[in-house]
Amino acid sequence: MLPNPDPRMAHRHHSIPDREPLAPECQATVATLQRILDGDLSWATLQADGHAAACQACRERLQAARLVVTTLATAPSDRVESPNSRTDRILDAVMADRRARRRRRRATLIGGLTLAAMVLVAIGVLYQGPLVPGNVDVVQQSDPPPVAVPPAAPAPVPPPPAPPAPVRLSEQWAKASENLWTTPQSLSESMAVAPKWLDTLAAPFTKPPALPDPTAQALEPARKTLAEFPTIARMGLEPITGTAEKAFDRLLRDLGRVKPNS
Amino acid sequence: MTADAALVNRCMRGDPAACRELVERFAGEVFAICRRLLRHQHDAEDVTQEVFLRVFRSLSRWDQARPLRPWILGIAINRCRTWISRRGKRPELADYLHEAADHHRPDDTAELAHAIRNAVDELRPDYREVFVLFHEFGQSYDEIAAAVERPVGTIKTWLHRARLEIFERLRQRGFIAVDEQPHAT
Repeated sequence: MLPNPDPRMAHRHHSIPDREPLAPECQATVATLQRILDGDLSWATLQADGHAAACQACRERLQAARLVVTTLATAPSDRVESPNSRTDRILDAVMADRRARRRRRRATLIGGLTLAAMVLVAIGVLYQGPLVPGNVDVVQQSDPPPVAVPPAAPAPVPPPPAPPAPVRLSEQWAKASENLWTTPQSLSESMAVAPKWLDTLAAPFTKPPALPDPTAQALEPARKTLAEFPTIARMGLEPITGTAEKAFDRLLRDLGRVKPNS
Repeated sequence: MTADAALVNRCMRGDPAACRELVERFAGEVFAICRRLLRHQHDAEDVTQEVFLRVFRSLSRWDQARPLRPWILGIAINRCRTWISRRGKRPELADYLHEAADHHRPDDTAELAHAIRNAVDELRPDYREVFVLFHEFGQSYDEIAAAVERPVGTIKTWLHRARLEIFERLRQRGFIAVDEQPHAT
């Protein structure tokens, strides 16, 4: 047998390199053999096939087919009952996998909720200023320097400092709406006012803290990020507003030149 | 609702008895196919476990209008392919070849059975899968087509070619000896 010069044919697991093509006169016999092996016909069908008896290659194929079928039929079956140990091991792995997936889902959910809560707390802290225990104003007001005060006329107790106003979203929306309604009605100006409207909404978050505070300093990067929102929005809207505003202004200018009775 | 669908629904509800029933019903066959295709006992154990992990993760995606068995066997065949491709990138283990084929019979047909098994193992992977499923595990064309996700016509072609290649290998190795002169009929 000559070695095949084509290196692509050298794969061990692929077709046989020197297999001869099926002769045309053998094709009918081989087709019958395949149907027998498929279970569609019985072996007796080949008894009437004269070519199967006369052709050496086909007789070899028939003998090989009989050997393969007989050997596979009598071979010990690979199909084995699943022992309990395997079943138990598989079930343990499946349950562990389910638990792990459930834990991952729960961790993801908790992480998401925690992040959302942290963002909300950060927003609240940024707006309200330093927390009450660390509020320097409160400390200074509640602990004045000792002075000699006549005991007969006690000074009136100063009223406690007013608590910082909480963030009221409804008020912020109302302010934003008011800004929107009070703007001129032209389309271009409405578009132009959008950044202002966002400014109004974001104003509480852009207010710097009154006094330095460790908590506020820690949250300073977050405050800066929030403060940049209106700028980002304005950058996004400017190409539109600029174009629309110019076009509308030009239209108004052209309309203004028209004299009704001329 | 079919029995398979009822079983799967119980499994999806987390019924431990149903999960055990599903594993017991298919684990033997899945393991046998994995061992036959991978030719390695321990790899077959690992892949069988992986197969059932995937089966239980994907139960909700099983089409209840189709039979369950080919779907599970399809997952098994895919995992075997993946494992074989991964194994090809790893340093070869010394003991993996033919470890699973260690049930030689003491009679004279042992050598022939071994030769047939080797001839099957030398087929290209898709031919080998089809041959093993049809001739060694008694799967029908339809079941094999569903498992390997190919048309029935393709399965038939592959199986026919696989048979001819095996016959040819047996002939080349001297297992086929017929008289030069045809028998008088």
